[in-house]
Amino acid sequence: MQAVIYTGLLLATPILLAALGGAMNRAAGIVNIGLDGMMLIGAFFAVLVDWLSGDVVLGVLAGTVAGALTGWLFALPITRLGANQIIAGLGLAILVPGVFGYVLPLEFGQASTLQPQGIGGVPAWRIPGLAGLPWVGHVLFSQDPITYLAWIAVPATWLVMRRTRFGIRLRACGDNETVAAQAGIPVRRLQELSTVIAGAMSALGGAQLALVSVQLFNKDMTAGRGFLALAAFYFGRNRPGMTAVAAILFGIADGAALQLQTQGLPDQLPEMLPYLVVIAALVVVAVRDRISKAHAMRQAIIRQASDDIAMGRTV
Amino acid sequence: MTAGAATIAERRAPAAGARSAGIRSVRALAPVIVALIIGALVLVISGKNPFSVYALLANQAFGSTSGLAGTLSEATPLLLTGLGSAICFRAGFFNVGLEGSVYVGALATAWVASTGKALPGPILIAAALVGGLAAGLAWAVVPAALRAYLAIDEVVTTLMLNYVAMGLTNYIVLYHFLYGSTGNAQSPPIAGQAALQPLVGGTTFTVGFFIALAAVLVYGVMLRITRLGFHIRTVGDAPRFADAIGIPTPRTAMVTMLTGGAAGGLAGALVVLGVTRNFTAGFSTAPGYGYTGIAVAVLARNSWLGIVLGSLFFGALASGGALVQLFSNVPIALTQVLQGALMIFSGVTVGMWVFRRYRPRRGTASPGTAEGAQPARDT
Repeated sequence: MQAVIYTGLLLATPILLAALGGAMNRAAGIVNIGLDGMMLIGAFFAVLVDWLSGDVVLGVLAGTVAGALTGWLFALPITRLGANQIIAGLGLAILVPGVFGYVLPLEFGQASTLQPQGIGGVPAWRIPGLAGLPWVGHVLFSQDPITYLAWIAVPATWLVMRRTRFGIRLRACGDNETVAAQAGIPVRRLQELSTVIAGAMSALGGAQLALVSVQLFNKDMTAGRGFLALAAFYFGRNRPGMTAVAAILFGIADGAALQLQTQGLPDQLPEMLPYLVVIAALVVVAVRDRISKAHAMRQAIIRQASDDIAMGRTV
Repeated sequence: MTAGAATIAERRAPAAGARSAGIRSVRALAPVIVALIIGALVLVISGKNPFSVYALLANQAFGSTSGLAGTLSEATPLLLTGLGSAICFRAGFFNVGLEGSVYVGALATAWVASTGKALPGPILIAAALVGGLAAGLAWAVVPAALRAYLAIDEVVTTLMLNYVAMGLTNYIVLYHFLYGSTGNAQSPPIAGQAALQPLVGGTTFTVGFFIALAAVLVYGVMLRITRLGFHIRTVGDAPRFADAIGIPTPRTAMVTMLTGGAAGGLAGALVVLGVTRNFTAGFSTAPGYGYTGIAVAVLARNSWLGIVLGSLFFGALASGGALVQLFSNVPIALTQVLQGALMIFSGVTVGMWVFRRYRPRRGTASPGTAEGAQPARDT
């Protein structure tokens, strides 16, 4: 149990980071389906620069910057050239593995995996004092620094989106582009910036994926985690807290799937679970909205009728 | 709906798109050109001559009978997934779930065609095709109904269900329908009489191509002259107008998305009967027939002729790319790069580059922009 939760939290980090970035991006009016590609970019450059420089911090930074740059390049066709965000996002999710499928055999002589010898990974940080606690010490306080960063990013995202001028302007872009533009908000630039943030966060997640437990790059290593992130911020309806809950649940489902796989049991079923949970959540929300809308309508009619009676009008 | 309303909409449509065929074809070709330039850049960076690679690719795809047959074979599922995506996009529903239907359709077909050994060929083939089509259609029922009656974002539901379909078919094959004790997740081979025979020896070009082509032609005619086609076009062009004149939008959503699922299922069925002769996990090779169908529909701007040309283009990339990898050490992933770039730049037109300064419109809608692309108003 302890192992499943520990692994689940570890596996949740890339999903969580990408989902928080995606939530910000969506709040600004861009539904980013290309998160998976950005994550893969981060994983690759983190491994490459870590290998070349021998410095893992530099590797993680390089991956993050590469992701930010990808986000910017990806945003431009959408904001400036009228590309459709859904199609473009799917396109990015197809393009990036394609690029690595092309580059790895030609430049590195590998079909799909880059596993440099003697590359340093991101070590676990045992938080002094807390790591010694029974049970939670291992599960919560012996993770890697990127995972801690992802946890800090949850309240930070909430603060930025809710309590800063930047966040409020960002949400204005998503709520109503035209009105936001008329109010003097640079809509396109903010949308681009939010995509840059989403790219950086997804790529940081990719770096964690590649450097914490395995220290290698594989062109299929994200295995749809960017789409799970999409599922998470849809589930969380852009609220960082709920998005984090979803991402961590998905990570634990992933961990459980791994556990089953090592025991030779079918791992496909827990792997499918997150996707089904999101659909169920969307249904619940839609039905609830529908009921509350119908209720509000009925209340309005009753109020109107009672007003009419009070005023002596015939109903 | 009255005849008067129909004529208003009919008059409106051509006026909105009144451009010469020349300008329209340049608009449609722009993303192809951008994608080819990006592909050329990738080739140059890796020290290859893009012209010779593209020439070799074209030559492999179209230069010989067997090459052409390979291209048409690869185009077969794409005609159907392109059609299935296009009919949804045309009505403004962003169904990206054909990949899932391809998988469940293929599995159903493989099951029918391998268990019905006692049946004569034509009947077994028909049953297998119907089985695949029905399974693909059934896979689309949930997202279609959620879209139609609860207005739930179909982009998310269909995308999620693609992963579910892959996991589910993988699970069924591994644990309930596995062939022998091979390490690969594949089903038993289909009965010999169920296989579609190649029309050109040594290739996988079968009568399936003509079935798919006929389906696309029917789509083109249906869209133009039938009441359903009018409904689809009106809901896609002017949803509020469609509502106002009494067109049943939910029913249009159901019909288009179920047709999309059926087309995906049939695509998977044809691949099983004509190419793989069994169900193999992950047979819809990257980036997947369903996703390539989206690219086809976008490139085609949902027109039947565009679907035919787009399928041939991507079919040529797939079959030519495989041969180019064999002969000149250019990894086939290049075709994935081209397709991804094409999709990213699909909404982009040459005109927008030139006249961007003079067109201060923002948020220009691309074909198929659905409410799903809008952010939710819940924050």
